[in-house]
Amino acid sequence: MTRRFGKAISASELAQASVCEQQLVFDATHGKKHSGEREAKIRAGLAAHDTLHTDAMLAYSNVETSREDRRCFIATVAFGPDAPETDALRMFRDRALLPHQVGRALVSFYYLLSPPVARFLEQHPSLLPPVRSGLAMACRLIKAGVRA
Amino acid sequence: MFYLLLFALVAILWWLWRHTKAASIRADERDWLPPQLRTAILAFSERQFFTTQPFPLVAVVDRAYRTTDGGIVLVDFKRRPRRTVYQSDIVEISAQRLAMLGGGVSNVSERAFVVIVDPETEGKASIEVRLEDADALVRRRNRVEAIARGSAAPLGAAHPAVCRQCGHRPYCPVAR
Repeated sequence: MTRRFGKAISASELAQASVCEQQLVFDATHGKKHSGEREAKIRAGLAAHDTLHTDAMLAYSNVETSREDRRCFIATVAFGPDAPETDALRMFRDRALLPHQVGRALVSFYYLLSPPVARFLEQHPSLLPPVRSGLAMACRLIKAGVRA
Repeated sequence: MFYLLLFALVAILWWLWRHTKAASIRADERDWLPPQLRTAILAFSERQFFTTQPFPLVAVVDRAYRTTDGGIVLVDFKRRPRRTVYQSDIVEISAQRLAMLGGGVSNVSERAFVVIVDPETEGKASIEVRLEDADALVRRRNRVEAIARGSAAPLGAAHPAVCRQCGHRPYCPVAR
């Protein structure tokens, strides 16, 4: 259990200690291990939480969350999920669009249309160079806007 | 011109879908939200909080609603067939409350709700719980730290069902 010394304890660790202290010790020394049945329940629970969170963000405005939205479908196909261009577009979405109602509407409209567009681009890689050029230009404008 | 009209049609259909879906989600919530929260506004969803006082603690809140009197009420979802709240649920939500208070959110109620989601039917039922105070959580944290230092022996699970779902069971000296 030395790995956690000097660091914050989580609410779930405190809760786990009230169920079985020995399991907390083994989790720290051997890593978390669950039976297949338990693993399936954990996965189902996480999926249900995802659905509830998506519903919350759709049904209410001005909800504070820490969950990072990694979706950026077309830029991911064009540049890759961790490319600086993809991050720049995510930053534009999070800082310029999501704080405003119209921006949030545009983002959800984009999420409706972009998955099929991204799939189409994956199937037709010859279309990627012009898409990359267009998005790169958008990124340059965003970066110029940030500097200004 | 055709593509412009097509775009406008898609935009209108999407707008209608989005508003219908949002209204449907809110109507569904009214079926399972406790009466105290039916006029409340959702303030936090999957929001992480961190505090250093009274001890370093991190917690992710499932949901927290702001009531009409300005109070914050925590709601935690549990997916299980039995409509039962366990002590561990109360400890977890109490720790969330402590992290929120330490993280600068005031007026977090010491009463919260556990919403049990039935895995078969997806039906939801809310159960009100009273949370533990900071002193009780400090005692729990001190106990964990004592076990970590080796100055206290860890106890096993109180119920055999916990052991049946545990991957450490083959080598656990206190497995039931």
